Amino acid sequence: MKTQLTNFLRYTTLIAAFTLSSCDKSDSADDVDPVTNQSRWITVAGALMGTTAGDGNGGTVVYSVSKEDARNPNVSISVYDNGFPVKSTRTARLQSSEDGNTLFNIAYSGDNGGEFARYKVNGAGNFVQEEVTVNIAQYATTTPRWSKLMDGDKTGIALNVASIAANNATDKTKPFQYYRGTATVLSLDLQKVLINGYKQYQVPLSAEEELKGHCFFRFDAPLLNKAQNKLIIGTWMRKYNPATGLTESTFDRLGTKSVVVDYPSLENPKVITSTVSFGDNSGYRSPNAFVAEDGNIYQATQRDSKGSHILKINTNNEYDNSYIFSLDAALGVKNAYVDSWKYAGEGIAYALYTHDGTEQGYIARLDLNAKTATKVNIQYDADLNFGQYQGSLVSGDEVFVAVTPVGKDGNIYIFNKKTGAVTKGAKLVNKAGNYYIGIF
Amino acid sequence: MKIAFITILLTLIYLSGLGQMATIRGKVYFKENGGVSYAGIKLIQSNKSIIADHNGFFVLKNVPFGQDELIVSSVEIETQRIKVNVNKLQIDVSIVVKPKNVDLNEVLVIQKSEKKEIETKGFAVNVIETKEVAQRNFQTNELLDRTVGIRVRQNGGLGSAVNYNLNGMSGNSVRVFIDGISISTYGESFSLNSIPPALIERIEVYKGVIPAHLADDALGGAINVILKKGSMNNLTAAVSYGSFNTFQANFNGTYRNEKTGFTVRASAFHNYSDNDYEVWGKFVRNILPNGRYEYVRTRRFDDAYRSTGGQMQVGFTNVKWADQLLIGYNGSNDYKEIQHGTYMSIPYKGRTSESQSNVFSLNYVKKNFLVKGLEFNANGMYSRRGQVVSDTVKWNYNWYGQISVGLNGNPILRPTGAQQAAPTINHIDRNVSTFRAGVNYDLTKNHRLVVNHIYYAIDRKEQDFMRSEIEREFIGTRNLKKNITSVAYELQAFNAKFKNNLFYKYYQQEIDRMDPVLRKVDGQSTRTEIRTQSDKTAQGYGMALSYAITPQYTLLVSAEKAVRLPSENEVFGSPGENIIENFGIRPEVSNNLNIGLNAGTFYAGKHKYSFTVSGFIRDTRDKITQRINPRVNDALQTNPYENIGKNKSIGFESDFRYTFDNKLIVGLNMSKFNSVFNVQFDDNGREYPYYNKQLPNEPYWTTNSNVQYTLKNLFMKSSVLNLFYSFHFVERFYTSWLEIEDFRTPRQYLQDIGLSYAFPNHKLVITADAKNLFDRQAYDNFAVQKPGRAFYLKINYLINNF
Repeated sequence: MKTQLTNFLRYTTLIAAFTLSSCDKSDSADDVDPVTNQSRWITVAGALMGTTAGDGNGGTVVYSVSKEDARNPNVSISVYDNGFPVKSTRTARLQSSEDGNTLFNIAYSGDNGGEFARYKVNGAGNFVQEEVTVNIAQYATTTPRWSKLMDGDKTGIALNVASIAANNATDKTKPFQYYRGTATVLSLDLQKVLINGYKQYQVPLSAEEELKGHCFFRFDAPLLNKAQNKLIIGTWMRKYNPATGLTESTFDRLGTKSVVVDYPSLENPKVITSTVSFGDNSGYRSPNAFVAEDGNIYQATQRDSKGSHILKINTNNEYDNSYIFSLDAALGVKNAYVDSWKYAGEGIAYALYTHDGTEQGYIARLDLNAKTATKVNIQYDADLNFGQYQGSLVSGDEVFVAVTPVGKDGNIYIFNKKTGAVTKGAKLVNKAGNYYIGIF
Repeated sequence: MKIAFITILLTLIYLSGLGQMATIRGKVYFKENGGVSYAGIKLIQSNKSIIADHNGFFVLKNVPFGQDELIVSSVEIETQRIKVNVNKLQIDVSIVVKPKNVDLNEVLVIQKSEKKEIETKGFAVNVIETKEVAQRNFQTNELLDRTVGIRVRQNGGLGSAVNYNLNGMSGNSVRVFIDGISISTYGESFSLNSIPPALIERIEVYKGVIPAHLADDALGGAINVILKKGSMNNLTAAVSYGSFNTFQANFNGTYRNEKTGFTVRASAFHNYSDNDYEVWGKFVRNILPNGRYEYVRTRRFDDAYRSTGGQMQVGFTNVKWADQLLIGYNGSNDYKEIQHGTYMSIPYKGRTSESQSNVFSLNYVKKNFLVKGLEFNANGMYSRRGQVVSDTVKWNYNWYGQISVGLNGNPILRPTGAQQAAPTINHIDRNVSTFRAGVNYDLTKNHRLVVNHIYYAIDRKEQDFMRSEIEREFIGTRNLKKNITSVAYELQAFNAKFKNNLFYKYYQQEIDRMDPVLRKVDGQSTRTEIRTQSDKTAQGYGMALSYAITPQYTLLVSAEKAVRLPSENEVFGSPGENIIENFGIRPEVSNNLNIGLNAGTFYAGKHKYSFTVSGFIRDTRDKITQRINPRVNDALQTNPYENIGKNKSIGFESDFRYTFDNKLIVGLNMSKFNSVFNVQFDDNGREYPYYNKQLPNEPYWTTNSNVQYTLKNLFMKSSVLNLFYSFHFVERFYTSWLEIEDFRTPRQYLQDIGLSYAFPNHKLVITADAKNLFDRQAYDNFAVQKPGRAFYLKINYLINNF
């Protein structure tokens, strides 16, 4: 009872503080230094197991605390006991507004798969779903891949590639030329909760690449460039054997490709190719590319035959192939694999990765300018797995990451981009089979 | 307390062991005109006699055990003499008599109630008799769904996909048989969706423990459909029509030549429905171009179902050299439009499934084969099955059946290419060979040995015509062979009050995989076939025992260590989904236990009642599940299927039946169980939060009741009018581990009424039914609405002794 009262007081104070601070903000939005440590809600998300430990298929639960509490190692957070269940049959695909007051979700699979909803963050397990929803399933399946653009919470982009087939699948008189699918790029108005528009097209590779059976399998991890006139879309490649029609699990990979489309028209898809790396750059459940202050874009790669790289796309929206940053080389490991990463600013980023084909996750501090990487010194565990990790939060100088091995308690870790300091924050209470998948 | 109980038990056993007295119940009737009023029945040996009542019913009490003879006589009938072996506490006889003026050879049939016989052997089994319901507008699946402990979950209206849940176990844990042969021999077109109850003699539902003669790796239960095998010359035919343009017809006929034993049995059915019933509510919405919802109330528009089939058996029955020697042909086909996938929130158009099967069979049964007391039966079947799943329409549709239009005014392409997934015209052909042979040998009166062997082989081929010719050449094949040998020993003791059945089953499974690949041979790319084989064996055993504590109370206990062998996908994985193989995978195992009490029938004046109560445990281990690998991709292989799951289901069920004066019948049943996640600790010794918690998506509490009232001689003399009412309740349940209201099914209260009118000669029966009377939203599966209020009319015509 007493704790409840204290909590109540704490949150009311916080809400009051918020109401005031948001007033401030609207008066002098430009004056707010994004680097200052102003207070905001920190929402922690946990994934429930479905049938086996760590599968994350049982649904998603969220809980929010003040930034002070998130930093406080004496605070315990248990989303599974006190959290709010987000309406999604499988792991929800969450994103948050820049001020942390709104949570965006697209339900993944289930009767409401593809349904976009907004939740007002009121602290603790108190989230209120706004009445209006919008469903993008007709355009982008009930299991869409989507990402919020960094344009002040205005837009989300959902992507899909469908019905990959050979050009002569149903007409054997034609010679084989290519495998292609139809891509959908959809833009969602996060404020009005409406679909802005969508475009569908086939995106060809070079005739030579296509004859070998290469094609785009997925589009993911879209990013708006600094000039806000192009979208850079990450890709996941697949190769068929044209002689058998079977997909190949090992093949000579092409240079990493991104698809650049005009924004906001979403038209004129153009493929750009890196000569540095040969992996995919689709990420998995979290943003995989970031715009630095100078307008250059940094992208991580996955399934890279030479381990994950960080690639650079310049302000002309072309790969800068003179920029070579191999995580294998920088970390001194083999087959580094970036599960998720976050650009913190000033050339500093934090990457959640694994290597040598194992499952165990690690965190590294990357210096994109110096092209160096160092493993961050936190408590690691064999069951730590960032495979389904969805999001880290940058607030001020700090990056917030939820670190919980499957079925074990963990902590929020806070990394300072300037000093490199590591702070062990609030305790994340876990349950068998579950783990925390992100901070928003 | 315990001692007192044992004492009482022993006393009961002692008392009932003294001077065995049986009760003989029966009915005297004309085949054409029903019960014979006031016939005299006399037992020669024990010198007991009684006069049957107006309807031909009689009860003879306190009959001593032993051989006896019944004499039935009356002024209007030929006198009948029937030998009776009084070896049980309760004997049911049906005596068919001939009118006196007809000068024909006597036809005599003695039937002991098969239902009671099977239900008191010790197994947890329900025998569903179709006699009455066959004349009504009921589907076989509806009939099953109203039976205690069974929940049938159908994904829509007539003909849509069905999943059976028996005491909390479902999916591939439950096997369906037709006359003891796995239903996969027949395929989709001859299934419980298409076979009308009128062609079914009875359905046996074995829960958890399955007798030796039903040989398959059924982990949680078996549904055995016994088709009609009338031995009298008769013909029945019925047609029905009702809501949603549902038309159904069937006929069934048997001819047997008395002298030669030449027998012809033939039956056929036809079902059609548009299934265009109304749907509404939160799952029925059109998505507007801008993504907003428009909730609509509309009819399903692409959901028709048609099935047609028939079978014929020709041969000899009840001749010297065979009780049965029949060759048969069974042919069927069906067509189903598929309106939606797992949830109805996105309607489909143009996705269809078509299948047909041609089954040839040879059947031989002989009692006293070679030696006395030896029954031999053999059954060989060969079946060719074909199925085509077609889905090529590339547009999105809304619930009005119109193409959805996008923001730019153009039609929206399905994001998967076709309605459900990628475009497909997939032809799946299977050749199934089944051979079954069994021997029952009565060692003495009370000891019987049963040996059974079944061989089962499926060759499967797949051709997707939406793929290029080259691709189709590189689709692998999977052939499955199963051999199951079972042995049972049946024992009766204490004057058949105690029955015991011990059984052992040996399973052997072989799956051959052939995957074509391109290999360089002398510098040339050549198609080569890589063959792999997986062999698995498993053993199961169990027992069933029953003890008649008193003539009215029978205690039933059964237990089995049941197994389910891994399927081809579970062994070989799926290259398309990057699931790697696991040759070491073990069968799923479940320790199943049932304890029940079968009580009745109790008589009190004109009141009659009986009930059963039973409890069960299903302790499933080594459940096959797949660990998810989040880095699923083309370059890395993902995890195989593994034996890591454990579930447990504990529950009880009961069934109550009351009859008043043969006019009013009231049936009530309920089933409730807890099906829980049963893995307690993770690798670090931490307890799972789901441990001992109800699994999502389990309809764990159902209740059914039905009332029937009979009025005789209404409108016409010796006509019979029956009025029916039934009530069906399913408790709400969560469909996801997230216990939120949005993922919970609503409570179901469904009510049906009906009536049947049999015209005086009992050849013509007309029935009318109104289902889901109050037009409630009915759901078996989450977010899939079942039909609302519906009306049906049916005409049955019976010709006997042509």
